[in-house]
Formats: sequence, C-alpha cells, structure tokens
Amino acid sequence: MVESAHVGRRAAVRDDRELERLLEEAAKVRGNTLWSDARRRFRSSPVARWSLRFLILAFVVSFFAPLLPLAPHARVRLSEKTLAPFAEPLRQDGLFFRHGWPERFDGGASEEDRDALRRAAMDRLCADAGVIAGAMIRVRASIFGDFELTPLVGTDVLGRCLLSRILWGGRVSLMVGIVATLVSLLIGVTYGAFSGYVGGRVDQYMMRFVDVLYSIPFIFIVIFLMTFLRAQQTATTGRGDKILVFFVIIGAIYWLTMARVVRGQVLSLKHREFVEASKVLGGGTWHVLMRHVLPNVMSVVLVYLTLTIPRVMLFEAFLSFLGLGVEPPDVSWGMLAADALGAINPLRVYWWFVLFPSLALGSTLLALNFVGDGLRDALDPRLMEKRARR
Amino acid sequence: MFLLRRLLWMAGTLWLVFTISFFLMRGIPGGPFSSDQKTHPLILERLERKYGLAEPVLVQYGRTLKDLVLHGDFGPSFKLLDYSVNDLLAQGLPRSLALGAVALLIALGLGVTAGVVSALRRGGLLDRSLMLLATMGIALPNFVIASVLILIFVIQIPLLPAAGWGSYRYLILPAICLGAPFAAYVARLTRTGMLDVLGQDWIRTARAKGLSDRRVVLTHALRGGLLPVASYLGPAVAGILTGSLVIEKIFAIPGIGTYFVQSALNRDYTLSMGCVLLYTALVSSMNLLVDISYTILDPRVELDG
Repeated sequence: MVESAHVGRRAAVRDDRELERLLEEAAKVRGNTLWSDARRRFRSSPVARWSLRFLILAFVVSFFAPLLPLAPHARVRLSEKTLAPFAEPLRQDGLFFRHGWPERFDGGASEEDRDALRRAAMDRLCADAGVIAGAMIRVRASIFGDFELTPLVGTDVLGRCLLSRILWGGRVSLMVGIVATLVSLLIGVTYGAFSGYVGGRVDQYMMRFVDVLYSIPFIFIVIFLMTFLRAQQTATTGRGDKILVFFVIIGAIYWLTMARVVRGQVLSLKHREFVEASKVLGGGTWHVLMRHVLPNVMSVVLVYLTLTIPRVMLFEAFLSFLGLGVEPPDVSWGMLAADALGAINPLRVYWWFVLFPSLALGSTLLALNFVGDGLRDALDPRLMEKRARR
Repeated sequence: MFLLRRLLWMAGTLWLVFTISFFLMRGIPGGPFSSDQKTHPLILERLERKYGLAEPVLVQYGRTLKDLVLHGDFGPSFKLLDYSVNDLLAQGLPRSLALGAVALLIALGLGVTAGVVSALRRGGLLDRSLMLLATMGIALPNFVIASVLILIFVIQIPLLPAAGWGSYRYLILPAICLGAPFAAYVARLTRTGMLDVLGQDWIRTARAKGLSDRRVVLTHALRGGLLPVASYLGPAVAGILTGSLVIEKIFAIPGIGTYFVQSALNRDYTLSMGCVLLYTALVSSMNLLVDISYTILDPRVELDG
C-alpha cells in the first residue's frame, strides 16, 4: 500500500514537472494568429505594400504641411498668376527658396514697421488656420523665418502657390476621409453589433429601418441639405464648425453598409462556443460584446473601412467640385480640380492646373483602393478557401 | 402582387424623402426671400403670404403634398422668373435621360466586352492591363477623367465640341466620362462572374458536345456570367445619375443635374425639392426594373417583396 502511494506521489510530481515544461514550451511557441497571417499575406503583395507606404507619406506630409516652408495657400499675388513650374519670373528670387513669407512688404517702410506688418500678417494666417495648424505655422516661422519655397509646381489664376494648395487641400481631403469614416464606423458598428447581438424582433425592426434608409438616395438629400447649411452657417458660426458639420454629415450617411456587414458577422458569431462559454461564465452583454464578439468582427470592419475612405473622399471631392463642399479660403482637392477645369481654354493650356491636383487625388485614391484590395485578400477567409481550392 | 408591393414601397420612399426634405427646408431659418439686400419687411410679408409661407408648417405641408399628389405640381420656381418647377424639370429631363442612357450603354458595352476578354485571357498581359485600367477607372473621379479627356480631345486634337448641347457630337465626350467608372466596375464584375461560370460542369458539357468556343462563351457562359452585373445595375444607375451632376456642370448641359446644383447654390427651395424627388423616383423605378430583369436572366430567382 505504502509503496504504491509513494509511487503515485512521485508520478504526480513528475506530471507536474512535465506540465510545467510543456507550458513553458507552449509559451515560447507563437501561434499563427489571424493578424500575423494577414500581415504576412499583406506584406507579400508589393502593390499593397507600396501603396500603404505612399499613403502614410501623403498623410504625414499633408498633416504637417503648415510646418513646411510653403507660401500661404490663400495668398493672392496677381503679379505671379498662371506661371508654369520654374517659369522665368519665379526664378528671379531664387530657384527653390526665396524671402517674403508670409507677405512681401516693399517700399519705404522702416525695418521695424515691416517687422510689425509681418507679425500681423502671420497672426491673421494663424487665426485663419485654426488651433493646430496655427500653432504649427508659428513653429514654422521660428524655424524658417521669412524663407519660403518658390511655387515649384506653378501658380494658379490668382497667383497662389499650387504646391501649397495641393498640400493644404490634402489636409482637408484626407481629414474628411478619416473623420467621416470614423463617424460611420462608430455608428455602423454600434448599430450593427447591437442589432445582431440582441436579435429577434428588435433586430428585425432595426434592419428594416436600415432598408428604408437604403432606398433613399442620400446624396441628393445631402446636396439639398448643404443648400441650407451654407446659407445659415455663414451667418452664425465659424468656418471650423462648418467643416466639422460637413464631416459628420458625410460620415452619417455611410454607416448603413457597415451596420449590415457587422450585424451579419455578429449573428454568425454569437452562437459560437467561445461566446457561449463566456456567457455561461457570467459575462454580461457588454463584456461579451466588447471582449469576444467585436474583436472577431474587426477584420471585416477594417477591410470595409479602407474601402469606405476613398468613397468618402470621392464624395467630398464631388461636393467641393460642385461648389457645395468646403468653402474658400479653405481648399480641398475637389475644389482644385474644379478650378483646373474652369481654367481650361483653347488659347492657353495651363497643364499644371490639371496635372498636379489630379495626380494628388488620383494617386491617393488609387493607393487606398490597392490597400483595401490587399487587406481584403489578406483577411477574407472566404477568399482564402477559394484560393486553396484553385 | 410583387409589383404592387414594390410600387407601394416606392411611394413610401418618395413620401419619406418628401417629408424629410420639406421639414429640412422649413426647419432652418432664412426663407427663400431672404437675400443679401434688405427687402422691406412689409413686402416680405406680402410675398410670404402670397406663397403661403406664413401659415403653420403642418398646413403648408398638407397643401404642398396635396398639390404634388393630386396635380403633380411642384409649384413655381423661387428664383427663376416665369418658370414653374414642372417646366424646368420637363425641359431638363429628356437631356439628362439621353446622357444617362448613352453613358449606361457605354458602361455596359465596354465593361462586358473588357470583362469577357480578360476572363478568357486570364492571367495574360491583356487581362492584367485591362484590370489595371479598371482599377484606375474606379479610383479616379469622373471630373479628373473629364479634364484629361477635354485636354486631349478638345484642346490638343480639336475633334469634339467642348461643351453645350445640340447634335449627338455634344453627347460623346460627356457620356464617356460619365460611363467610364461604371464600365470599370462592370468589367470587374463580368470577369469574376465569367471565371466562376467557366469553371462549371455544364460549360464542360457544352464544350464536350463540340460547340464552338464562341457559342459556348456567348450563349452559355455569358448569361450566367452577367448575373452579378445585373444586380449591379441598380447602384450603377443611381451612380450615373449622381455623376451626371458633375458631368452636366463640366459640359454645360442644361439638364436636371445643372438645375439641381444651381437651385442648391441659389437656395431655390421648390426647384431643389422637385429635383430631389425626381431623382428618388428615377432611382427607385430603375431598381424595380433591375429586379425584374434579374428574373429574366436567372429563372431560379423568384420575385417576392
């Protein structure tokens, strides 16, 4: 008896050691998660990889555009209107850099007067740009002083620097894309997850509501809405608010598909074992949803997100092009495209008006599409099956 | 039964759009007569009484709805002298429809051809370049395409008129610009659909019984391969209508798109609302047609609700 008990204890000890060893080993092994798999697949596509790099670059450059030594994007200088890149008059003051930011004050004024004028002009510029960009402009002033880049890609019909307008326009366009998409993400995911998770009659009604909204062509209603919003807001509120309202409106109409997609995913997830297990262990609705259901929806959401951003940006460009979106002195890529088309005439071709803004908008949208496609290929399990079958 | 339900659904949508736009219109301060110049308050009041703007909102709502439903009357334009909204819409609609129809034809013709060709040449150089072109067509907004095409075909090689409305030559460039993004989508969808279908057993059967390649592709595969395209037609029509706002503006075509944008910029409430309703009606009736056409292409689909 004694002997066997002894053996039993020793076996238990060995088992414990064995278990510890196994656990240690397991801790060393990194499993292939969905995300690491996806990352690997995404990296294996050069087009998607380079597109992502390009997008990050475009985003960083346009976000920090106020820090760059650019001419103010709204500064009209009629003596320099419609100049091609590196045209003779632009080269006078220097090939790449010249003095005269934010404005040139020539004539009889004394040194101090000119300094004061310059400071006043800079204050106006900062006030126009808003808090964040304003602060960046001040930093820029302390770094570069009154140096600025000559208009490297030419000037427009009012002699404004096209490069500066493209980068500042990129700020607005990319910001619209991101903020509006986030708004649609927030509404869509919340709505879809709730509807799918609660299920039953609530789900039925909520989805019916989405169906109804689907059948309304919102683009036309938004245009209709912008009619009033523009008229009213010029009277009451500042410009910053208007752009914000604009973002929110655009975001608020793009949540429908997101809600449907998320709901479908949640429906298929909510009876899976791990969700049931969490419920049995006493997890509340909120806990189960946030901790177990939503993380599994994220891959689909992410794919849909990258495909929404270009659509939203297109929509912003579309509205701004029609003159119903962002208003001067703000710029966006849609507005630049409209300016370019307006300036087309058979007598003189201002090719740089058309080329550079189109290039900026086109390459960004193209890159977003490539990244979206790449992500979808990397994350979509259905496609994976398809590929395996082939 | 199906038709009746769909028509009711359509009427419901129109009513909803009408209600939303009506209350948006009335809910925001600043009437159609408030402008930069100060109008004398008395004159303003008389104007408002004349157009029934002084009554309670619900009364106005009822009256406007009644006018619209019983007489099909959108009321007078608030900004364009001597025109009723009905006149303007009746004038603009045929032009916009012509433009939209040609654009749709271009989208389908180009798209299906490109899709079938690239599906048959799968993986080849032609396939890849066509699909790259399609991605570009999807990504680029139509005004970018338009400005490039104008630069080439109007300014550099003066083949086509730059803008305006008249003979069919005025239609070519705008229709191409309008149809291009949708041609790109259709090409992608056709390619995927054809690839799916070409792998099916019944295609192998058709080949096995000795049919020519052309016959297999055109009569057997194409019908199934076009199903995804058919379901895309609804969104495509909506997109073409939206795109026509921009294209009509670029090419100065006096269609409803131009009126709509102008009315939005001028704050011409009645015209703007008429356009919104017209667009809604167009989009939903096209969706209905598409659903019906779907059953013709695929007999397995049954119509319900």
